[in-house]
Amino acid sequence: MNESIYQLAVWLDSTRWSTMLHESFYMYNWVETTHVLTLMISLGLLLVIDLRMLGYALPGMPASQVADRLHWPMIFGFTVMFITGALLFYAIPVRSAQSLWLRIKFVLLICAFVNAVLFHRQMRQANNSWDTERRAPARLRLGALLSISFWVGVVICGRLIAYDWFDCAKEPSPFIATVAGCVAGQEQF
Amino acid sequence: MLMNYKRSIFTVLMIALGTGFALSDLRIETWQGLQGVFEWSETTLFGHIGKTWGAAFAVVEAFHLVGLALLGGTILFSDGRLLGLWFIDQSIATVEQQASRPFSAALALLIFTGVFMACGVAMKIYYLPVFWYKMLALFIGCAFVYGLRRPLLRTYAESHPGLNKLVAVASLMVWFTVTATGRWIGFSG
Amino acid sequence: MNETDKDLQIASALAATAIVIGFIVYWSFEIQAVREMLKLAYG
Repeated sequence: MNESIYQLAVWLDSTRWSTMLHESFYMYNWVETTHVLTLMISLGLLLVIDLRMLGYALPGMPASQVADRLHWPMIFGFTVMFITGALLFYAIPVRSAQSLWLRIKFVLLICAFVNAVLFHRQMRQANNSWDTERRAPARLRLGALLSISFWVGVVICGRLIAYDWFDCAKEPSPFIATVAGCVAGQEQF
Repeated sequence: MLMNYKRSIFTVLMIALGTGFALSDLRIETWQGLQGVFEWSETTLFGHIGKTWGAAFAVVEAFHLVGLALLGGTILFSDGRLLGLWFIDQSIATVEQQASRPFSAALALLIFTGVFMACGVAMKIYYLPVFWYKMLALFIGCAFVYGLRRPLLRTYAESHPGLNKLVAVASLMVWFTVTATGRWIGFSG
Repeated sequence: MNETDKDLQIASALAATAIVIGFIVYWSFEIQAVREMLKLAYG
């Protein structure tokens, strides 16, 4: 598995557009800036919804209204983040594919996605019976709390990708090397 | 007669003084006078932690991003209402009031984590013009929100759609500048 | 509308206009600087 991921990353790295993006004077920075600033739309609106469920924000507004109306702008934000994130990966594919932090980030993203699906299902089942109450029912509050936790984890891991502590080039411990996807005798980093 | 227009006179004075300060030598003298403060801040506990432990710096930076996301979410929520994009069935005063607490919480988180980060790289940012532009934008943003936007929207918002839109555009512009210049600090040096 | 209300509205309009002008001026300079750097880098 790690060998295949490495081979795919090496192939991506050999493509012209990857090199151009990586070595461009400003484009990489702009893509990264867009990725980070779009947090204000995607995660920002998600936090507003989650904090509404927990009773810490917009307590006087119907919860289902807040969740419904902010849903699509939030999805737009996440779409931009996904596209720019993919471009950042494509610009530096080998190091990114073998980044311990990116791998943890992906796991957390999957957890956040599953939690979001369950959260939506529970919201529909609750049938807005608590809509004007200050706090959502306990199960929804747990979902909101998990959502915030996963996303804080995603942001922390995203930030830590920039650090090279566990890079394969630094020959980490066998456990870290396996989790990060380092390949014995690899020539590209 | 003029005493009834204290806020307007104060605003004009602030704009004139700010412009005068920016164009005069006083700006350079003030900057030189602040060098000692920046040198000292690197010797504080925050400065020591920020410079010694990369992981601590990165985690605090991640929380800075979470604060930024929440700030963005609340700004989009309330400015979106001012622009008539959503929640038009809710009064502007209500939306403004509901969004004010999470906004202030996000701003407090941003300033606390921002001061921590600044202490770790104080002398680097001291010489970066973009850092000073960010501080200027932050000061203008805070003065605008707490000094004018809030009192205006909580009391007289409903009768002036044109003014509301102008206020929303100015708010989006100033906070965009705060965040974009902040991102640029990361790319500088 | 009394004069105190008017005062707040005029002050807000003035400040918002100054911010919009400041934003346009600042980002025009930044964009110009980026264009010059790109010209230096790529010709």
